[in-house]
Amino acid sequence: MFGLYGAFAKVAFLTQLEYRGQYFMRMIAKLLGWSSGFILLVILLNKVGPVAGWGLYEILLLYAFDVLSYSIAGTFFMGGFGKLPRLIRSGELDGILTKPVNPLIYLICTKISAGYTSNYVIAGAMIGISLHKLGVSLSFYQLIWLILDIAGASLIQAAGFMVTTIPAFWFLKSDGLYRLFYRNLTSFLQYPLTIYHGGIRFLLTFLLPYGFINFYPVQLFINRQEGVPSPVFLFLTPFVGAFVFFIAYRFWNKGLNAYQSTGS
Amino acid sequence: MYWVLIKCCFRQQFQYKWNLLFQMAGDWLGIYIKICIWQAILNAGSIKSINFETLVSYSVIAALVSGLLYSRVAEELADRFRTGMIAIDFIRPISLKWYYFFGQLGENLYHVLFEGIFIAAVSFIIWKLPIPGAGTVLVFLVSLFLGLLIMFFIQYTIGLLVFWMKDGTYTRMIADGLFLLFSGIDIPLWFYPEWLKTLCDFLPFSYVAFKPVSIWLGMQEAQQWQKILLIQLSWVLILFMAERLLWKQIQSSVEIQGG
Repeated sequence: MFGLYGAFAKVAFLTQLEYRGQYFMRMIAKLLGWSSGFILLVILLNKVGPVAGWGLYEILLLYAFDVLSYSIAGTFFMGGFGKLPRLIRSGELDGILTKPVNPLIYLICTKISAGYTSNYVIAGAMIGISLHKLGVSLSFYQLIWLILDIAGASLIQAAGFMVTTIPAFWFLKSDGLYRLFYRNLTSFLQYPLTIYHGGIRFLLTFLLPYGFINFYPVQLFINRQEGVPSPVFLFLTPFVGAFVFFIAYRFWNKGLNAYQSTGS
Repeated sequence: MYWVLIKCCFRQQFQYKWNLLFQMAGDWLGIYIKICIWQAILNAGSIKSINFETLVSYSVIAALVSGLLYSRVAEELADRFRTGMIAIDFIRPISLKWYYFFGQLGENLYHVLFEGIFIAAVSFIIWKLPIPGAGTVLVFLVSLFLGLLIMFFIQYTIGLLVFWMKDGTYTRMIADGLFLLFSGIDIPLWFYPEWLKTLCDFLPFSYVAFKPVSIWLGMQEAQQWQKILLIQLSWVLILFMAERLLWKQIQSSVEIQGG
């Protein structure tokens, strides 16, 4: 009799342990994931001091802006656009197209990822701490602008995702495009764009405006004006964000049209 | 009809070439970024003990090592576990492990030889990087191979944990994170504070990337290359035994469930 209860208890206990074990692993994995990049930065900058005149907290500000805007964009767009080739192949996209709602909105809402939430908190905290350590206190007007900048930066990131994954409508394996034109180019953003060849800055400002994700908006808050043709650039992020997102949206529609016209 | 087929296959091949090109360009950019960072750091003047050529060589060789380390073994193990194919592997006479190791190595070598060596050669020419003597290169290759073995064992053992974890994604992420932090693949360990560097010496990760690369560079570390090779061998043995132990555990527990 007791043997039976004992057996049940043991199973329940072990299941809990396994569940806890999984949970624990997940926490450690996430912690390592977001912190390793940041830890490496801290280690390097602690040893070498300022890079191109930018100190640790200024570079952390760049990093946090990038991570935060990427996480916001990723929450809404990664689920849909990251898996676009698969959606097309499995026919799921066709299902979405039959719905009475705008397909993009449907895609965003149904494919929201919760995996980025820890990033928001960490990146947000990093922005707060860095600004504090740099002795910057934000007026109300500046705080509003910060929020607008993050929103704009997120739109630029989202547009980047979209534009580099939408070619899946035409080409089978387009992930090389995504990796090169989005991932590789945004890795330039870890450091101030002034350390690179002028051509890179031109590319990241006028052709693929990733520079507006962090390099230009951050300078507004730390009173710098490097590598900018005009001070106006520090304020352009929200507008650039809206503009490129609009273009990405048009591109998306073009892709949908091409897809639907070749359908069976 | 055949024309459509031809067009289709050509398009596929064409895309494949483009993907290759994109990959190369991407790797190039990665190295370029690192080099600009080193340049900016050296310009700031606070680091006097290391010169530009050393830093660039480090980044280029580390990138090559990184290319050779790519392994999907953890995912493959998780897949086989999920689909139940793993049952066959218990009765197979061939060792699953070596099958994966050499298979992955072959695949990586293909990439590295075509793409990696090309990029490395160009980098070496552009920045006039010094190439070590034949003896050093030999020791480097041995050390590199041992390092690859170490990393493979780590990944394989992590992969085996799927038997308890049921889902291998997190264990993989943890291993990757630890590797990034402690192996010196991104930032050479000279930049690490003393206490962290000591910690790294006790972990196997630095023996996968940092130590072999420092042999190539002929750094002070490398004067003790015999010691490095010895430690690598011991890590290989330790990890090998750990894996065997885990495998035995798995076999016995699976048997109990069987029947």
